[in-house]
Amino acid sequence: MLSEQDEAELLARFAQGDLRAAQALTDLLAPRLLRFATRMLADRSEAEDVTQDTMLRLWRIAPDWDAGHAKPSTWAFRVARNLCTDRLRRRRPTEPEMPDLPDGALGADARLMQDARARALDAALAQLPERQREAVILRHIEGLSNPEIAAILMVGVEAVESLTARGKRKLTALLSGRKEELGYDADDI
Amino acid sequence: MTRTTSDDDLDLFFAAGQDSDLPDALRARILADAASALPKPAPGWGARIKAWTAGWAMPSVAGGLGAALAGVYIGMVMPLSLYDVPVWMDGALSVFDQVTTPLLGVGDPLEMGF
Repeated sequence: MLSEQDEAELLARFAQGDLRAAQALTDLLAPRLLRFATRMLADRSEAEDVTQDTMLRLWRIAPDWDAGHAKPSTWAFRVARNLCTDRLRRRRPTEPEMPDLPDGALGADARLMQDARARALDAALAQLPERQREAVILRHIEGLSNPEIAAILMVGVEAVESLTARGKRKLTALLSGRKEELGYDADDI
Repeated sequence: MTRTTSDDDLDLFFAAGQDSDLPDALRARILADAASALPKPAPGWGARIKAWTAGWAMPSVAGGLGAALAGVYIGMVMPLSLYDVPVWMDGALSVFDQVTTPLLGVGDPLEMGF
């Protein structure tokens, strides 16, 4: 994961016309934003739109980026989160479909198992309250720090800790019965 | 920090949830956006001068230069005074009568009886 300075430097290079910096930033941020948005919206197509929109806003703000500002990835997650929230508010309440997240180069059996695990995780995440879901995804799947998540969710660090702890407790309860079914035996632990 | 079994269990699920690639089509769209949002470099002096001359400046300069040359010609180069204009006209009419009309085969209308 790049430091704040590295990300800001890439953004500054892009602002000076370096398209390779844009490629590096895209490869760094877009998959994470897409994953986050897919889990928040449970809709791959909408998640792609949110990801593209977020990155476009990042490109537009690049010339005016203040180095003392938040980390670009934190800023991008905040934008993506707001876009997801807007879309969720506009949406009629429906049963969310489980997002289909493609895997890397795995064998067929391993891929199926990995898919099943990811779907189980997504199904459990979908049952969490929105803010707990955001906090758990950002902390445990995207690997952001608590202060970064606090900046994204615009809450205090203590609130983030509380949200992730409550989210994890609920996830544990939801997933505990599926461990064996999904190929996690005692040797994995 | 001591990890509990449930933490480990969840980590296995979280690890499964981290696999995802960026679709090529989406990556291409994002990079196309980046290319279009790329700040345009400031134009160089050559481009600035070209743009300047392509606008209102070139006709203005040409007009000013033409007027200046006409002024120089009339004020300094013109061989005869403007007061001699009737003499030039008389000379021109004489040339017309004596050279041009015979060449064209047209005589003096008065002599032709009109």
